[in-house]
Amino acid sequence: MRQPFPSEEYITIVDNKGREKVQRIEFVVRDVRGEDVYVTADGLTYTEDSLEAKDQSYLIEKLSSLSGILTQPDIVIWDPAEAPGDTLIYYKRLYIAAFRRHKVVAAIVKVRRGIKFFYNLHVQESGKVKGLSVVPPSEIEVWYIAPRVRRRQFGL
Amino acid sequence: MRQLRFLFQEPGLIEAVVFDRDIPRSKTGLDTAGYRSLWVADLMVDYDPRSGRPYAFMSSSFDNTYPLVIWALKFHMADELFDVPQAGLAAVPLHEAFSWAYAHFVLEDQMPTVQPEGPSKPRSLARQVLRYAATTA
Repeated sequence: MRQPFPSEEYITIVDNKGREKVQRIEFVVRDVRGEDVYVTADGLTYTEDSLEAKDQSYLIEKLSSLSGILTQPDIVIWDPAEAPGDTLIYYKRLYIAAFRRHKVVAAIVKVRRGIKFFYNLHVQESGKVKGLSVVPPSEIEVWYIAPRVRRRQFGL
Repeated sequence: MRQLRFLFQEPGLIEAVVFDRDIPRSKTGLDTAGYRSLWVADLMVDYDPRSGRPYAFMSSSFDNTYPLVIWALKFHMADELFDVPQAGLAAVPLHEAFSWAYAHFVLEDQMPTVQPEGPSKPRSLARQVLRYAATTA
């Protein structure tokens, strides 16, 4: 994890309608494949607001572990709701002290014009990546899987 | 009646969280099973373990997948009505609430307001949103 260079303090995000939105970069994480993921102030604020609204504040402290989720995920898939190349989802089992057990946490990373930026962090149903039961497992594209992890642990 | 609150992040992430005034917030936080896809990949739902009812909805590419999401909500989850104070809506089904969210957050309220089709046919936000999207695609 590092601070952004002066040339990358702000990032322009383009939506599907071609509209440009400028966001400020808080820090940069080099993910499991050595690619930079930009973490924006808006992304962090949104995630905190979302977790607070869902009464899952115990995950806010896990935002400090975001680097670990991106650098050492269990599995990463392309979002099956989007075309490959659009959105990556990093999954990792994390210990939740409040409940004395592990939960699967998902970090969503959008890719726009070759730039990856953190989008949201949420609890995912254990043993099922996004889209399972709706999309055949064969159509879910794995981008990375840790050596110790088996695909069936995530329903694939 | 339960209340719905929307959160949105550019370019198309939307979540809707349900608030039930009859159930107090948990001291340790809510220990849910987590999001899972229902009916369409981009409609993810989490359930409140105390009531067994859905309490959070997420579409991370709503700017792109909203027709599928709205149709799925209309066909599968239209049995409960919600108040949406931030939209000034009362007693609406989820597909109407999400249609308001699409018009407000994604279209940024640029969709022209359509008058009711008749006194016996109240205005359908979902119909307006889908029609507008079809004409501008």
